[in-house]
Amino acid sequence: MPDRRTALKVVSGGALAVGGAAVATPSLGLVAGPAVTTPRPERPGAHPAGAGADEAGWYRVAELSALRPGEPFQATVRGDEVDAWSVAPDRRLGAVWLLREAGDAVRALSAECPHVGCQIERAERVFRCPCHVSDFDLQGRCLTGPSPRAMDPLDVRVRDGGVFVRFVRYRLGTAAREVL
Amino acid sequence: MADPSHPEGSARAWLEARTGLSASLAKAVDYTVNGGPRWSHATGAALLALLGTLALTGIAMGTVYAPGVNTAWSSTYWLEERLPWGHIVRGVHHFAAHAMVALGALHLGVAMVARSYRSPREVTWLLTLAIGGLVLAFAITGFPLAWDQRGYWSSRIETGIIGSVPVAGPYLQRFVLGGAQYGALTLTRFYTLHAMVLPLALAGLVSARLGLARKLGIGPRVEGAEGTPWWPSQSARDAVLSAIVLAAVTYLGRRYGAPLDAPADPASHYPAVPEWFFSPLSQLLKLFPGSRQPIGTMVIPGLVTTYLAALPFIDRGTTLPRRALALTPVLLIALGAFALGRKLHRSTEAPEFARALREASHRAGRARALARQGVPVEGPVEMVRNDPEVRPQELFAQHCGTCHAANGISRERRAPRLDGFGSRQWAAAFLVWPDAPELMGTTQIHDMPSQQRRLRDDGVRAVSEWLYARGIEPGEPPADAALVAQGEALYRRRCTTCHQGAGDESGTEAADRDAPNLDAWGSRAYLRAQIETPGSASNYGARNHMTAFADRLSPREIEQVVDFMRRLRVRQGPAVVQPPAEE
Repeated sequence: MPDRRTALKVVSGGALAVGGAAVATPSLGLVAGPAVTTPRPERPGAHPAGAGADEAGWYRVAELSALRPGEPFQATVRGDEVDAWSVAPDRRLGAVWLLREAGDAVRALSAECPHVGCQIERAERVFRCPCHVSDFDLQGRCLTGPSPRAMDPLDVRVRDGGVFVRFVRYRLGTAAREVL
Repeated sequence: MADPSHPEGSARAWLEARTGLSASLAKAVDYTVNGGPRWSHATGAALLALLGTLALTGIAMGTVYAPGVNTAWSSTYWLEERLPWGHIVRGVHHFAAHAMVALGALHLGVAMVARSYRSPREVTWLLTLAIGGLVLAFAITGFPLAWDQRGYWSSRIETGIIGSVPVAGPYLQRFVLGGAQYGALTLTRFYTLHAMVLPLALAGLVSARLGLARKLGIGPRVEGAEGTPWWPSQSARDAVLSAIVLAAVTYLGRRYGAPLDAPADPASHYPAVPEWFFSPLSQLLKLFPGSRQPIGTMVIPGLVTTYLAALPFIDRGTTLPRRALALTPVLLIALGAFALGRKLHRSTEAPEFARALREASHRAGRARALARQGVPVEGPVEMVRNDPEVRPQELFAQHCGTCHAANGISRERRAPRLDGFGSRQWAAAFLVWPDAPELMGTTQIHDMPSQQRRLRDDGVRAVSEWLYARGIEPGEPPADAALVAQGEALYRRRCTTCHQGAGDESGTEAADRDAPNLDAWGSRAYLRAQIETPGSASNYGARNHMTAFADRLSPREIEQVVDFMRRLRVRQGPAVVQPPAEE
């Protein structure tokens, strides 16, 4: 039969554990929350990527007339920069490499290196990431260096003389391509 | 080694040999309770539990909160409404803080009744009082951190009091504010105090207080009674009371949460109410205005503090009459605080106050709705100011409300009250007594006599209906057509002897008609013209003394004021008042 002293010990420990858990749970939930969910501002009529894009996330990044066949062109993606609660309009969101091919066909490659995300630059006959010297050919295929995959292709289309890119970011450092 | 609970070779024995954990724990709970376990001894432990809760929720909020005039409100909003658990964490922090003050007062009350501060516990009492002071400092520095209207304005008033301290006041005030004005550096200062300095100071004082409890035991010594160990008889009582308090705080935090007002706007006015535990002090401030202010802010609080600190030396008798005498001031202080707090609370029940609070809560709701879509880089105040729902009211308050009264925004009486401007009732009130105090009475224009006798009640009604119909915009319900026709006929015959406008049938020379043209009275075009060029020939001409806003406001802003005037049109206007007999 449990004696009075044992009962008091159980009550001491039990009540403290219950009270502690009641208080600790919300705090731990708040701190751990970002591991599971990332709330964003609710922007009616705007693509989650932000304004500057239409509802489907297409950004107008260049005029077709500015692109010369075979000559890579670096275009800037501008739009609303969203960070937690804040929204800053018309900020530089990133860059893309555009390649005009036969006719009016255009290919777009993200300028963000799949390795750790440095900006990929143009070298002699290749694209080169200056941070850890990954070289890519003009198709985006990785030639040398630590990049785990080829440069990331982006959806692109030409409308009314403008080049539109669906700008997305991919998870870095992985061989598989995963949209963030 | 000989401990039977740690048999040789067991894992616990292994750990014990290397850390001495069990022995340390046993030592850590080795407190003596003088005179045996009691529920009334459990308040201290519950206060410690609240302290832990405040630390934990505070740290959790610290992972989100960003002190800065443009980010404090936004991050608090984000925490409150968008992050999972944020509402509860903030609510628990809020209610734990309130519970801390309430339970702290109870803790002191219990000590007074039990005379716990009698020798040798005088220093224990002083330490406890100092901890109480730190708790209030936490409240003062924590309340404005959300940088919302209520926190900002209460805190601005509180820190304004510091300036009234003789000689050192201005320096002390600048020291507290981090500069000459209440602003960005005040916020970072309060944040540093609240989240770094005060927690360290509190940790030091609480350890010292626990050290004294270890040395002298828990509770006052009781003649002829043995002390008993804290664990587990008193600890069970402590844990149960703590669990009840924590459960209550968690429930309240989850159910009601902490309030978040509109973002702090230094250019606004706000009906600031202090937290309940500061309301007696706040009312004292009202009782001693002007040069006598230090009596309320320093002398009386100073006397109360000194008395409390001296209690162990005053309350030394053991007989009831002597104790009653020593503790009478406590009763007086408690009653006085209650009466002062109640008086302050009463003053918040006035209708103007309630109206201002309603406006503030409307603004808070707009701010939250806007912030849901993201806060622009200019910050949350600009976000609210530029809101199409709030902006017109702001413009009105800033430019029109300095002379004109309008519901909830301004009570100035230098120009006609504009509630209901353009309505039948406003027109009728004007026709019956143009010089009423709420109409032209306080202006410099007194040309128009009462029309009551000329038009009679029927005529006033008809002309009011016609005037009201001048401002009906497409899509709005029509006026009474028969009454309008009757009113128009009367107006063209009786009113155009002075008023300019089309269709005069009174046969007056055009040059003699110099009163405003009312043919579009109350319409958007009329309002626009009145705001832009009140001194135009078709209006008051040379007699005008209202500011012309054509060059002061942008066309867009003027449209917004016009929008606002159209909103006022449907409000209850000035009452129809008969002029005094001699007019």
